[in-house]
Amino acid sequence: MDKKLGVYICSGCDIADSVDVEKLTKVGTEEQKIPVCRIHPNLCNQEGVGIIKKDIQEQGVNAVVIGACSPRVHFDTFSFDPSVYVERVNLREHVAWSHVPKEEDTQMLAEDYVRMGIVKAKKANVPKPYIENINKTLLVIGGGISGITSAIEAAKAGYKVILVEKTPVLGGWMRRWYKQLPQKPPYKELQDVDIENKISDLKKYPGIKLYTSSEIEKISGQPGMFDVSIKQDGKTVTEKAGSVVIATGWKPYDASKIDGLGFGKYSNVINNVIMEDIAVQGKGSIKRPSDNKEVKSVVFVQCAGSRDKNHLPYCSSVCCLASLKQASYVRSSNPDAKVYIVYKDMRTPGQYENFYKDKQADDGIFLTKGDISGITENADKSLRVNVKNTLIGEDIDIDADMVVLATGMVPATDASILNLQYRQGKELPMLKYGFPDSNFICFPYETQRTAIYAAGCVRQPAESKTCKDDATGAALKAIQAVELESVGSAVHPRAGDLSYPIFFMQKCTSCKRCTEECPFGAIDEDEKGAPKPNPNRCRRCGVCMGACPERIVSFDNYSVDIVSSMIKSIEVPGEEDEKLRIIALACENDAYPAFDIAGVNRTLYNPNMRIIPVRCLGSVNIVWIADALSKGIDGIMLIGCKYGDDYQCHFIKGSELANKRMENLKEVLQRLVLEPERVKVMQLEISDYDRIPELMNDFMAKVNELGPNPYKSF
Amino acid sequence: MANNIIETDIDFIKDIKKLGGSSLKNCFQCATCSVVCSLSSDDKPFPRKEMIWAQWGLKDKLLSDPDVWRCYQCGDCTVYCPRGAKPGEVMGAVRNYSFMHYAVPGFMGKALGSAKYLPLLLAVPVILFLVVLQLMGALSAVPAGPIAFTRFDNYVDAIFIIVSVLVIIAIATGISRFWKNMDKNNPHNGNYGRAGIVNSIIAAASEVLTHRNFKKCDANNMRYTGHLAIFYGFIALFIVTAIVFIGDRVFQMELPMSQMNPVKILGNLGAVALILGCAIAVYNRVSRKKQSGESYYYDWLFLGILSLIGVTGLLSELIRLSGNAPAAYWTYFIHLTFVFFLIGYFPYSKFAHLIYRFVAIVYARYAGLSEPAEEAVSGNIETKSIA
Repeated sequence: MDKKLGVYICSGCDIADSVDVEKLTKVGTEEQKIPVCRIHPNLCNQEGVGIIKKDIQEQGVNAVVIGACSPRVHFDTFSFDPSVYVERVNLREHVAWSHVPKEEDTQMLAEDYVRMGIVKAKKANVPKPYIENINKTLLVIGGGISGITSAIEAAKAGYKVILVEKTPVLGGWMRRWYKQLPQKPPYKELQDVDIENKISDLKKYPGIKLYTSSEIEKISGQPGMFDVSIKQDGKTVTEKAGSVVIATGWKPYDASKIDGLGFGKYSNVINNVIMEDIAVQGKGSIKRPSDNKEVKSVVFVQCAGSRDKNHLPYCSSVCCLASLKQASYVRSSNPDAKVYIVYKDMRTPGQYENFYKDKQADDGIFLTKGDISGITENADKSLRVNVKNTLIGEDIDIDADMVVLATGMVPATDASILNLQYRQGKELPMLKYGFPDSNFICFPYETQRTAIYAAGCVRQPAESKTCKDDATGAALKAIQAVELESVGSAVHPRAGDLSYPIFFMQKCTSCKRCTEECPFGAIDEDEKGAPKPNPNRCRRCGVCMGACPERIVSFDNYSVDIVSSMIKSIEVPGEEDEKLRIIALACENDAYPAFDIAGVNRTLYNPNMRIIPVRCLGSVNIVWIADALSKGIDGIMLIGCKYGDDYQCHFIKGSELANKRMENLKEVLQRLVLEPERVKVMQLEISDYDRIPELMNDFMAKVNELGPNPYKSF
Repeated sequence: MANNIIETDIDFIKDIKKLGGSSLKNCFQCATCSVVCSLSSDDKPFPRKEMIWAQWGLKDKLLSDPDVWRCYQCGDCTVYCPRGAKPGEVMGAVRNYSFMHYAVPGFMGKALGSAKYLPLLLAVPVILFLVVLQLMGALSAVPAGPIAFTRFDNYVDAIFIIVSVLVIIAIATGISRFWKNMDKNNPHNGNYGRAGIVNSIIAAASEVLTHRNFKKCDANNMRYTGHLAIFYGFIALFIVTAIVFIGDRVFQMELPMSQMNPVKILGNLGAVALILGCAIAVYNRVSRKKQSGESYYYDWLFLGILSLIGVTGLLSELIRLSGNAPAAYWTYFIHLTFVFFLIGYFPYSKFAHLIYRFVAIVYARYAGLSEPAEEAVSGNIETKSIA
């Protein structure tokens, strides 16, 4: 279809005070030969939008370039017929609000942005979505409190659910508890365990199909069209599902691995799970294992193996609560009984502070910070606990009938759970502690596999109330996933994006870089190693596009060619002008908004830099660097999210990959007698907007030192 | 390795709660109290450690802790405590417990701690006085001539002398147990005994007489003013009483003295100071609860008796000057009843803090236990600016 462009420049919001808008339109009319080029003092009002609409209807304009505010605002104002391509040129935040008005450099900056916008609009197309027949059933794996809650919540919202539980009965750990923590204000009184009510509630929903004593044999396909094989009683059943909630829960840390605490050695040293069994068996009366004598004193050892780099390095956040709960079992069992709790720090998150306060007020509960230096057994099978570094002011020994080790939660991710038929592996990739998550700061429930969400203790250690919240949230994410897939849209963080990567297979060399580097395991391989994309597994980050040496991967509105053309459209002053040109390939998720915020705060920075938004630094193809350098661009910044252990990359490893690729590039640059320092990868958080001028100046100073790009004159 | 098996005592916790430390279990050991305390030392700060000892019911540690007596309960810690644990009141409660614990005989401590024994305790002097007066035949007729309370005193002197001897024995026994307990449970460091007992006593007396450390208290400085007035009022009255007793018995001094006699003037000033001090203390407890904390029976009993002694003493004098002999003698009778209460029950009431605190300060100095940090004064200024 022929493209007819229209360029619209807004002169409001200080833009006309900053640059000569008349001259700006000449970039469109004279340079780029765009027939329709208009200026309006307030493009976002009804009249302004009206003139664009009129041109679309009467002149047949089908690609609109709007030079006004940031694309992050007024996106709904400037949305027209779906067949019309819209390109936004950020003249307000990135020019008028962040540069000295009426300067030559500012004008040149604005003109380059308009040029790039027009070039992009010429090359890009309105995406044609990938739409398949979507099955909206949710597969929930795990029948504990989280799985049950997810299933009920999804069923309530009108979705079909398949619930798969490994054991013969539902209820998980909750079935074993004697009492549960308070679930409602004022969060003081223990409550009876209500898991049976939840289970009978679940059975009321005909949309929930239950598989007990069952395991997932395999899951193949892609979101919206998963083929699930379930093994039940030796037989295999197949089901279809659209998205998955994984709620496989946790296991207590094996306390026998901890030296010096006597678990497995002394009969009266138990863990917090066994304590629940004792309370259930005794119907509330707490009797010690060795002789069934009712206990008069109990020591709870907190952080048994937790927050210890040799065991579980993290805090499970529930063990303090569990011990306080079990302390009140002991106290209700025998009002004269004494309970000692030796902790590293008491951690009772949220409203459970009230529960802590209430238990603390019990005269028979004694709390102290301290380290256990040893536990020995006395002749009568009671135990002597040596505690050092206490708050009492000295090392103490406590004689107790029983010792309870408050062990932490280990996520149940070690066994085979999902059996995904993916090229990158059968299970979810883990974070460093074995919890699956794709970005623990911003996107709860997300995993590194699209449309598979984690809920409850498999995601983070939690008590049942938090598990229920988690399960509800994960169910909602799973519902969003199937709904978005049904219209061919990406899920979070590019929800609403209808583009998807298209592979030009004739040129593929089966190098496997895309199939290996995709952060979401979206691309499978055929026997010859050629990529087999699964668009519904894709998050549209473009890491495959950045990886491909043959440049065969592109999106309708984002491709190697589009960005290359944008870079080439920049007017680079000659060597005699002594003006540097820098480009910044800025991540759309954090870095680009940071520049917007800098503008909103009227932060001035160097006008010799051109910002080009990229979906993720991982989508940056090395050819762009080559194009920029051969064009005479003096320096290139790649500004993305933090990478490493505490990464903030929205696509997990995009910024890390970019960094690696640029390291590899250094050698090539040296061969071309170009200084590798001209290319720099930077990490910028959205809140770092105030650092921008300094970052720019430092880089400019470095490039200045190196002198102009020697390829400028060619 | 020596065993140090911890002995927690739930009953002790309950007792401390009843005696004023009701919120002691709220403490979560943040040590804000020790930071804001103007008197706490740097190396072994209180009252943070006393709070966990109280929470664990570690009776021996608390009852032999001189730091408990370094606290003047100014309320700084109670005001700043983020958990409402009221450390100042817990310290007070431990002191109250100590009076009863070290009291000889023990039942007297219990009797003073509970309101239900109050009528009985008051009845003892009333009955004693009535019996003596009856035996002397003084009940049937008001003595003729000018009103002179010394005539009344002549009848009851013997009671006071006997009671005073008993009190001295009781308090000496209690104090000796207190000292031994402190000596047993506090580690003897390199400075132990270096100051010498005489110097320790002089230093302690200087601290008590000047109220030097009491003055550092910030949140509840009104308490300092009240206490100072009561303290010096009481001392003035004590001196006057001694002069009168000796003057009367030894030198056959003419009584009552003229109003212009310096001794009389001192007595009157003392009475006014005592009454004013008590008034300030009562006002402070009633209307400035946040700083002064909750008041308990034990606190009110002592303050009440002191106030009543002041008021009835002054009233006796005024009625005497008005010339109404029966009214004057009966008011004086009531006055002496309260005086008996104060002196006779001295070792078991809050009044005993006078001697326990003094002994604890002497011990702390003698044993070379840490002194209040000098910087405390500047620290005080900062807390004030926060407030």
